Amino acid sequence: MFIYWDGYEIDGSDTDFSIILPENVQIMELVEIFLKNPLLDRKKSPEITFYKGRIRKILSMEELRQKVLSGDYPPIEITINCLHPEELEESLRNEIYAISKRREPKEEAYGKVEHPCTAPFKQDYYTRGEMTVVLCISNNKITYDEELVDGYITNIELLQFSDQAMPYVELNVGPGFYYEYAIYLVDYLKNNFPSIATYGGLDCTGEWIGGCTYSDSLYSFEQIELPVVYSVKNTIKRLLEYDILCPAISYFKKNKWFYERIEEFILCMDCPSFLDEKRRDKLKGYSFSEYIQLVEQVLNSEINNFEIIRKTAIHILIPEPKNYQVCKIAFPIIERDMKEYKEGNCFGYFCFSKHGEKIYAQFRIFYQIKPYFYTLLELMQTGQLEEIKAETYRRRHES
Amino acid sequence: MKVNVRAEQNALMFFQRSTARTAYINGEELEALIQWTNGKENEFSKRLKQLGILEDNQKEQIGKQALLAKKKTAPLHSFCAPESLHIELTERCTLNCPQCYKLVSDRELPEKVLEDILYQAAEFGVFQIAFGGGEPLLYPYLSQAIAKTAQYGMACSITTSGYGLSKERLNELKALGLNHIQISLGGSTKEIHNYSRDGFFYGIEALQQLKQQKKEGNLIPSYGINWVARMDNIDDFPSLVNLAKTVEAQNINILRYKPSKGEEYQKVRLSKEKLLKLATMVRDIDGIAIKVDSAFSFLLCHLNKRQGNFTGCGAGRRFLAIDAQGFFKPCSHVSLQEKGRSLKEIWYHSKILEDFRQMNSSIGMPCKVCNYLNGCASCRAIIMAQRGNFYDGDEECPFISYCFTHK
Repeated sequence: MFIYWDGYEIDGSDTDFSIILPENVQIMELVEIFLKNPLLDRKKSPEITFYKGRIRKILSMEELRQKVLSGDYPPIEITINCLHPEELEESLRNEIYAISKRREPKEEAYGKVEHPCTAPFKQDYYTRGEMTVVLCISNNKITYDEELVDGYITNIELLQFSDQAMPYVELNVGPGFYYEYAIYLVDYLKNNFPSIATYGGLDCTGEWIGGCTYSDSLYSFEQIELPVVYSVKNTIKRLLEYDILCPAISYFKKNKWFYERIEEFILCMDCPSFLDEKRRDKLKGYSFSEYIQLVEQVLNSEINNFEIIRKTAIHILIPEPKNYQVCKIAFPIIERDMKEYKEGNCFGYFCFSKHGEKIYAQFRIFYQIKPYFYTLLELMQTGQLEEIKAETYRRRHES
Repeated sequence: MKVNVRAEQNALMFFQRSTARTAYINGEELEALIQWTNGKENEFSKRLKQLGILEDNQKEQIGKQALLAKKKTAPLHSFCAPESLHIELTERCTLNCPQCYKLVSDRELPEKVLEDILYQAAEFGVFQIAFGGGEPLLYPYLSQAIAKTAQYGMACSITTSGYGLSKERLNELKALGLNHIQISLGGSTKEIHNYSRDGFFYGIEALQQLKQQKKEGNLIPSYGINWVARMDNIDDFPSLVNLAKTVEAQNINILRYKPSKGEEYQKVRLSKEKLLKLATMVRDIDGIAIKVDSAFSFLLCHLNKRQGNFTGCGAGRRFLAIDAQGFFKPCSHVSLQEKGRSLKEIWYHSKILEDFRQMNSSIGMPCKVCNYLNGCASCRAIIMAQRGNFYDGDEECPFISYCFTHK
């Protein structure tokens, strides 16, 4: 336990605490500490709201403080986004990934992805990794209920054996929130408030992972980087020629996501959330030369690597094995390694990245399809896919 | 070093003198703190530093105290040492307050006795000394008392009518180490003040002096207003709050009326209806801190809708009183007293203190069945004076019925 109170003793009056309960002070302190979590996007102020009847009211931090310390306040929600994993400091990112070791059960991808990464865009696009956290505070108290206590349980004896109901806070995240992020958020509070009890965190089907349709993972994709040797133009041209790079668009139709191959380059960040068929036709695509110009512009600007990735990212499809039937020698090798080529594995992302002064073309693909993709790259680099160049040339000029 | 630390039974207590922040740490938090003393900085230690409770140069000291804490045994329901001593420096007073519960005489605490008490207090680990009287500003050795208290590393406050608190005196006392002044007022106007007290203008002038000094950017002690809630001033409370805000007082301390020699208790103490009204008024206050005498702990429990840790009657549990004769008392409002032994011996072996500490287990109805018993226990001084039986429950509490329904 850690409890603190303020006040000079006064003779003749055995002074109790002031009307402000230590626990209200600590709840406000918890809110302030929570908002310092390095996982959160602290460049933006949190949204602090409560409902008065049906009317949604917004509070400033100072107004929140006054309400909480008064001890008399309605349920209040503090909403803030988390940073993308690639926006984190390297040490923090490593710490986040290390949490995966504690995850039970381990997800299938754990240990199989060499350079794990996620979708290369932020919260303003539907990420399937939902980055929003809502901290809910209220004046309500909670008692122990065996049926409700599950998930990430720590120090539950505090609640179980308490003779009075206890103050609590709730952390709410979307069903697609990263497990590691959720644990880090809770652990951060636990490290600051060591004796708090915790529980919860299972999704709607009662599991940590995979239970919900939208659950996401830090191990969604394998990152593969190819150094740009001569120029961005040459790299893209080469990848297009050998059909390694297949720009695509992803849209929602009849309750399902579709991936369609296209000849132009449509940036992920230009795609609104839940792009449907109607809005898809209104999207602006970049031609080959326009995309190159955009990439070079982005690479020359003073922005960090994740921003470069984000601003150059496009959806891609992984080339179908049958496309390489014209490559007589290479095709049997491709067929051998195409086992994991399935509809669910065959999409990903392409973008550019920069490490120091070195530029890379970057693919983000599902780990299951990595052997197939590596095979294609190797065949390309050893000159065994030359026959496909005629096919790709014809397709580009016919479209 | 501005943070005092003391070993308790499997716990540590901290006190930051400049902010008057007291902290109690045990359990997992204590383990995290011990890890810090072993060189492992963690989020909890950072949090403590942020709160001003921890300093890097204290590692060794805290490590030693943490080891000591494993061997310490505190008296029942108490700390290993009082958080504070309430010292009556003198029985002298120039005022003639109707509600005064003390005998006025020329009796003063001898300087040598006071020095010894302060020395013992510092050795024992007491954090705060609260000086009162009579009128403490009349005590001839007040400057020495404050200086010694500060020298020993303890915080120091005085409760005064404001009599004789000139600008020069104020600056002198601050320079010597006075941390806080509490000015006693009976009301926002002389008329209402005079129902219970005397010397209205001394109090007002003192408060205005403090405000002025603050405005000029001078370093002054923090200050607040002591106010005893009575039937004849309860309706003035909102005006008193406005006055307190006008003079920029940091707090209003609401005291429960204690039986006095010159007044009829039943006519003066708040009725249940007025207590409920007071609760409503307090709930609506903002802009100034409200403190509550622990004799009014049921008010605190009602307002917070729960009992707090370490709240309720602190007599013999969290503090000890010493009167102008040098007698030890659990609280300045009770007549029970002991003399002759050391502070430590009194704290650990006094039968009177033992009775105060274990009273909850024997307390009568209606307190006996109240959910808030351990956070309240009412006021023994009032109970003994009115009912004669130390263990009687408090039938004046208007919130007990609420506790029944919430049980």
